[in-house]
Amino acid sequence: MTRRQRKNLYKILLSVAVILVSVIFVKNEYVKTLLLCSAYAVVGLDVLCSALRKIFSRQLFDEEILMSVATVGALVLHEFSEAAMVMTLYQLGELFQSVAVGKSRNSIKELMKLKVDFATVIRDGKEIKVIPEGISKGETILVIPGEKVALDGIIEEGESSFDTSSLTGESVPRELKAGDHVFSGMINIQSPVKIKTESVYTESTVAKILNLVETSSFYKSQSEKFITKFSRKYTPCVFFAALATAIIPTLLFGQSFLIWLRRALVFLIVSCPCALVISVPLSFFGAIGAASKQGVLIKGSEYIETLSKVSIVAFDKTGTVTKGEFSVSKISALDVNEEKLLEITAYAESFSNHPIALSIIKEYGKEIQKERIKNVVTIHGKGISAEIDGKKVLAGSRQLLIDNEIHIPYNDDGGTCVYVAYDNSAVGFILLEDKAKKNAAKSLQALKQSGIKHIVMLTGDNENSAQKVGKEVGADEVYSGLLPQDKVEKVLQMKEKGVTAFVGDGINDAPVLSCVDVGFAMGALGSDAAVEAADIVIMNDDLSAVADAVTLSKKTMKIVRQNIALSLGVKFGVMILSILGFDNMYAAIFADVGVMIIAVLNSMRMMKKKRAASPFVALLPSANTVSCVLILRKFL
Amino acid sequence: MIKKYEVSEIDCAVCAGKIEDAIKKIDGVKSAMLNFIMQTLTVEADEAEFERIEKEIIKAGRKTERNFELKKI
Repeated sequence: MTRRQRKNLYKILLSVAVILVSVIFVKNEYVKTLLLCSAYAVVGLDVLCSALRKIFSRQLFDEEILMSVATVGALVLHEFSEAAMVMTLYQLGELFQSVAVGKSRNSIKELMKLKVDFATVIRDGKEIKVIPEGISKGETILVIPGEKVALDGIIEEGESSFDTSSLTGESVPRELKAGDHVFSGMINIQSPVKIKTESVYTESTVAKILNLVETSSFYKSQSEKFITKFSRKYTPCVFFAALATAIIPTLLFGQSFLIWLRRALVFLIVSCPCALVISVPLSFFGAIGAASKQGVLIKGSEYIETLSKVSIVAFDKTGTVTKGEFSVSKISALDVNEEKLLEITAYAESFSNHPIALSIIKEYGKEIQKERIKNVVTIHGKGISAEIDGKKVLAGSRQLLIDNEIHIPYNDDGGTCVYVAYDNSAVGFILLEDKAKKNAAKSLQALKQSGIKHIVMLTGDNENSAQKVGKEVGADEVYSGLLPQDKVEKVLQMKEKGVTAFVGDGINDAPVLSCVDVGFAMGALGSDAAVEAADIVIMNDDLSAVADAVTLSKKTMKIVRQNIALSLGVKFGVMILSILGFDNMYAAIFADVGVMIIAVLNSMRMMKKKRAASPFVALLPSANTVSCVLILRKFL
Repeated sequence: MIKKYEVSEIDCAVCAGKIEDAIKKIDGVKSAMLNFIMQTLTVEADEAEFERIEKEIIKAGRKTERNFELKKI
């Protein structure tokens, strides 16, 4: 609590004590009035002064003004205890709101504690401590174990493990050595390293992430826009409704002015839309904070709202559903043994740096004696021809062998196949596969459970391997052989059927990401293009984050809807009841403050860690309804 | 040019909205965003004008929230 908050708390406690004493023990009317008025003054003076100032600066529809009018009205009606109590509870509500928001702010800041205050830079052989903003590109910084990396760069000297969890949510540390890229926000956990910086602080990963979260309120959701519009109209409307309630029955029907004035004052007490205005953005922001802790950056509440409505999710295959790297899955030899087949293929491919060649060489694993190879020719789009130990080797597509009049049986296992001929006869093929990520099937299943109806996989790859991966991970539909523009077209078709999300690597998929309702980029750590193109950025490679994000969005929207319904329901309920004659001011302020407290607590649930829900948290939604009913019953 | 500030003592979200609107209306301010939850203010304006604009922001803020403070980050 800040000093101001504590001061307000003492005032509230004092005034509550005075009110209780005077109501229960004091019999003398004058003394009682005096005590109640002083209690009112203790808590209300600030509000009254502020209200007066605002009236002079013509900000008429302000909650402080309305609250002042309501309580002064109560004093005029000689309802001293009500006036004091309303003001006390109003202040209590304000205090709670300020403490709760402060607390949420701190926990969000804690979640996002990525920035370091100081970094050690090496200048002229000396280690100097400076703020990250004071380091320029190309300087060398020293990061000792336990320290957070301040700026993005390349390791110059040393090797160590780095904890990337605050960036990616991944718990397994990364081993990095000289020449590897390091990103700001990673924590060095092993041994000191020297890093050559590649960016200034404002362009570093940390600065970008923080900026993204801070400016996320720019992309406001429909609900937030509604609340903003509503709150602007609500207070003036209630004010005029109160005025009408006070005047019309008296003027038109000759009823007692004092009775209707009392009822009108109840209106003023519930005139502040605070519960909504605070709890709705708080829910969204809490969700954004909680997601960023998991390495998922959501660019704005707009996308949370849209994501909660998504019914179709399309995935890119290579690198998203699959690992994006080929590995040998089958060696099928004719006439020679498998080892020999692998050896000659590895030799033939040894001058190539194509991903397929690299994975065959990796699978072979032994040193390649380059003097055994001669006359290497790359036949574009088909494969390679080379001479090994004086004999001609062809490795590549089936077409390459057919072109050389060598027949080889067709393999229809799916995957990518390298056919090999040795000394003018077919010797077999090597099958390579880009395997699905370990948790891909599970993640897609989780996605289905979170309410996604249709999962589609899009790929530029061939039919066979696409179908195989699709079946393995449980996609409902697979489209293969797509060019980037075909992907856009497919996604546009899907959008006609329902709200569509697309998950890709963010680099090759930029056009698709820009035309879809919600675009996810995966494995985005260090890739500006991905962060730029996507609406939701998943820093690590974990597919399960998509389902988590969907679940989070649904939970957020549920809380937002609960809060809207609860706040409006209670406020309108109080107004209707007061017209009907249940004009109890205590009840009104209890309902107003109570509903605000419940709504704020409800939205603070978003900041709790996922799944680790305490029983208290689980009880809150039902507690909402119960306390709401209780408030209404007891006091109205 | 964009500058970021930390604001303090804004307790109510309605007030934050009002202050944001008031800041947007200040002469020379191209865009302004007040993040109530993080209590940060982002203002875009010409560099030469910032000194005057800062003063006006404080004035506008104090009109709604008595204890409004502006701090550079």
